[in-house]
Amino acid sequence: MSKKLDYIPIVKETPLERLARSYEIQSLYNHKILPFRNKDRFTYIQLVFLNLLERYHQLLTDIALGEENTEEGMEEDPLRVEGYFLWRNKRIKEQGKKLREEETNLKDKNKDIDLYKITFE
Amino acid sequence: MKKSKELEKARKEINEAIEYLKAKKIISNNAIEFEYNNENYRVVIPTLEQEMEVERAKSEKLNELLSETDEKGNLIYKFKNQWKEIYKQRGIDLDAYESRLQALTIDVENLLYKLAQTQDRPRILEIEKQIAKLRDEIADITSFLVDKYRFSIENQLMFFSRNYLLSLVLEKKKGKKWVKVFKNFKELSNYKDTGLIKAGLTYLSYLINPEVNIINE
Repeated sequence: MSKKLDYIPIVKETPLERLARSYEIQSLYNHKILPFRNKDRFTYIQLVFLNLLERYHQLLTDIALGEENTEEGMEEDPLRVEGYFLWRNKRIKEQGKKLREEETNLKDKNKDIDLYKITFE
Repeated sequence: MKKSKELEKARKEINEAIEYLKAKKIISNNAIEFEYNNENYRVVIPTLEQEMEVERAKSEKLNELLSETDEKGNLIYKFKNQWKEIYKQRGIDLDAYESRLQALTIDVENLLYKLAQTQDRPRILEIEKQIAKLRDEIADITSFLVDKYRFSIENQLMFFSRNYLLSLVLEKKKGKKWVKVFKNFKELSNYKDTGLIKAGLTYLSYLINPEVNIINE
């Protein structure tokens, strides 16, 4: 867990966040292995942890792919992680909305096509 | 001077490592073990039956709270909304505090959104300071509201059900066996070592969603 950030974040990450983004745990998660002894009946904190695991997995993938607004080391800054997912989710929503609008426009454009459909019996 | 700084750094690293291991242990199973007064205890995730038992007990407790009246026949315990009215008459508008909380939450979100889009170090630190300041204010208002609703029926019930559940799931290690600490809830209520109850409740909050959010309940 070497430090990659060149500044000290104002808010310190929690031990749970540090654990979830650790190389050890992320490597296990990449192989679909969870660090739990129980296979079901997860506790509240285990569910919170699962959420964090997926979040850091996604972030580290995005960083590796050089996605917009990511940079190496930002995973050590909990506020930036929180901000990134807020921004990312909003962008996904906006993109989805745009796509639906484009589909609707295309449907509207093609709505007369049915008039010329010929049915062979 | 240099040595003391190094010592401080080492101490910090050791503490971080301990916290890391503690977190690892807590998430490792659905029964959480802990040490108290040199003895080993654990809290075990409740079964459906135990949860149902708590719900039944909670319902009885609600009836009990609703039947307690003063000499004039007024209910002793009040719901959150009733407390809200009482405070309003005393000049404290709790709704205004709740609205302030919502506004602050939106301000934090806006700042987080800005933070996501910058990599400029001084700007990052400036935004983070602003967020931390707003969150401090959120924490202050939240604890103020929690305090104002402390005696509400909702809060009494939550407190009761957490303690009741603890009486069902707290176990102590005796030899190789785990045995229940309390035979029933009454035994927990009369138990003198509140330190153990407090520790148990802390670990219990890792097992089940504490939903301590009595403000928005």
